[in-house]
Amino acid sequence: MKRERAGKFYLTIVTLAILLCGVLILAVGAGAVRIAPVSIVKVILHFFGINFKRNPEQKIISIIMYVRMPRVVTAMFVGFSLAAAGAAMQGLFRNPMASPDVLGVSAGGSLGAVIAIHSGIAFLNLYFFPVMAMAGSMLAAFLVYALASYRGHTSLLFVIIGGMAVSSFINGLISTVLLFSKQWEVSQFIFWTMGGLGGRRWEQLFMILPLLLPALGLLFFFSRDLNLIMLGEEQAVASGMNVQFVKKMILILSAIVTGLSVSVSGTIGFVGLLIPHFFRLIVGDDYRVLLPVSALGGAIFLVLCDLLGRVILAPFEIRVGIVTSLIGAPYLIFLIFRYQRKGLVETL
Amino acid sequence: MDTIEVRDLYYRINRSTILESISFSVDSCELVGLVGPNGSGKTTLLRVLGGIFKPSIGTVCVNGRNIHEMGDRERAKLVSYMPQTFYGDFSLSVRELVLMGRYPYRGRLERFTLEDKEKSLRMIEYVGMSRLMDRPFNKLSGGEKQLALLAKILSQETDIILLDEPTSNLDIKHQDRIFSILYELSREGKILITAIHNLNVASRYCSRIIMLSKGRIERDGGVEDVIEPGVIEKVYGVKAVVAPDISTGFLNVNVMPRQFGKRLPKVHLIGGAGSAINLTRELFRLGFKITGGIAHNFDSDLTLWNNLGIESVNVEAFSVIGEGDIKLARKLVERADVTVLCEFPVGPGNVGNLELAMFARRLIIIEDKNSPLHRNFYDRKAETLFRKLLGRGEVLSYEDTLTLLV
Repeated sequence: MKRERAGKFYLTIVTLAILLCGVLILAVGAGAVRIAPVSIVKVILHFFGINFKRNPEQKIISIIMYVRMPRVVTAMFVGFSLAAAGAAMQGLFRNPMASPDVLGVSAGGSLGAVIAIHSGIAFLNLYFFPVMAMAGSMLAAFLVYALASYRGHTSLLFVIIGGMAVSSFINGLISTVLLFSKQWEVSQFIFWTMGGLGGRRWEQLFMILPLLLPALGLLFFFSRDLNLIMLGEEQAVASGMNVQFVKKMILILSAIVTGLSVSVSGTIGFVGLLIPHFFRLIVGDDYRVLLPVSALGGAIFLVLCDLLGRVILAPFEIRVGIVTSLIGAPYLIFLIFRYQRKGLVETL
Repeated sequence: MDTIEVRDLYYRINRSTILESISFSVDSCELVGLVGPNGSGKTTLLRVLGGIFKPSIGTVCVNGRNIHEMGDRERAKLVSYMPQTFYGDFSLSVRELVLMGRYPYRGRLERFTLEDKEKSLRMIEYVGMSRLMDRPFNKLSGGEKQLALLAKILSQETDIILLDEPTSNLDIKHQDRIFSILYELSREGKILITAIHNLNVASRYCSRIIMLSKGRIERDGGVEDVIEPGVIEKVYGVKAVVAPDISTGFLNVNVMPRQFGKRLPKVHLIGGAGSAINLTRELFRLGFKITGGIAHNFDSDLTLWNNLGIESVNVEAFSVIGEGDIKLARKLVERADVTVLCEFPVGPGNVGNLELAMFARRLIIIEDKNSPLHRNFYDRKAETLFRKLLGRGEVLSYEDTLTLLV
């Protein structure tokens, strides 16, 4: 029985990984210039130094390696990060409605980024930009945490209300900053409230990866703790957990992951809320399974959403944040109905 | 031999004092029931003992070491705690839940070992949940949830186990199951401290009771010393009847009925062999002033009268009721407005009760078809006496007697 379950877990992971590869190839191939999957693989292999009898055209190589790949891979990492952060926050606050965007953590990242650009800090050092986004996310996260916690007890309802308050306040601040900056256009405003992946470059992604990957890795080490937090904070303390430390660590790590994602993609809503939720219904509440599965699912979901945004109204492009909202909002409504039926509303 | 020692413990929130100068110590093999009214501080005390709250003043030491100065993991290897309210809507399987008990034994980067898994499986078996091992927690019944949680606490392998109302919402089967397990654990040398609001349950299973009242220890001792009408009235503000249960011998606590304001007649009951039990209970419930006798020691009528604090006259078991006894009881009979002669067999030993009935100011003789006892006479004098009594009193059924009196 035990082995069977472990087997099931690996099967799910492998399936999702294969799906992710498929979606990546699909996304790289689609667009104004269609490229067959075989050519994509060829281009990638060629790029890493393997020669073929007929090497791919330089034009195709450029399109794949410098236009589409950065964008698609960024989508993958952002989706992965947001879903992982969302799952962790749901566990941390023991609240199925928690996620980086609902709690204003994404908005905090945006604010940090906007301030970094507007004040010129971002141009002093390349790394100041993501660091500011990260700081903004952390600030927002701790603000919500402080609002929702009273005497060591975190209220499920106040997490959401606090998150709403913080999030709309920060969005107001972002709009204000953008309004007062002349060199900014409306599209920039949309980028920081709706998110987007157009025109991403490798440099932007590579800049955040050295911090993003360790943070994600560390977050996964807290999945056992998240399981224990599910039993309630009292029980967690009684089981020997240093709850204050663990909660702060999870909060900081989720905020880092979110802030870094936001610095490359703007705020993309619903991924952090919807994806962990969706997979919770399938794999259950065990965070040792839920966290990696959600992360992979988030990556697939965001790559797909970006792809949809590019092809549906081509040559026009719908921003990825709009696509996720269009899919996410109906799902949220579905969740409301589901909770009403289950009677969970009362417990919130 | 392990000991948990609480020394002069205070717990305050803001300006209100929740616990006040609490001191006691518990050794291995004790199953301590923490009782007291709602809000008396039972849960807070358990939380302080479990290391979840830090005391404002005072110490909690296990084998001489202060648990509030230890690391969380270290403490969790000594003391485990099962809270009362439990948010149970998650789909972790029982197996995964119980494995969580091994948390203090493994660092964050370590995996649970085979030993951990085996230990938790053994605990699942011990509480009898093997069959439901792979069921998600939120698909369990209340009793099963509690058993699963108990297995989790046990797999923590602590010498001290604290429980907050472990059976408050459970049926008697699960209640008995859980307390039997706790009892067994205490026999194995563990220290168990459990909050219980039901005094009957506490006196049934615990070896020692600590009664809290307004954050202080009101009484600490054996079951009989603590579960006692005086203490109960002081702490709970109700008059209580405390008596061993007829079949099990465990103490039974019941709140006394409220007395009616209306002036009711004083009634003297003459019974024997349990013939007066129903009437006693009924009249007592209605608030009558009752006296009883003459009864033989160990007669169930007498036991009931004693338990309810009813004044009565008694003689040694199987002895003959003599002139002196009748003289004593006559005072009670003459004071009563009504004397009721219950339906019981009469022999040489209790024929004196018929003589006693002669002094009644008003006599009711019960004769009831439904009575399990019949008024047979095993004494020559008895029949003559009874015929005389028939001339002096009225013969009524049990129901009619009640109607007449009320």
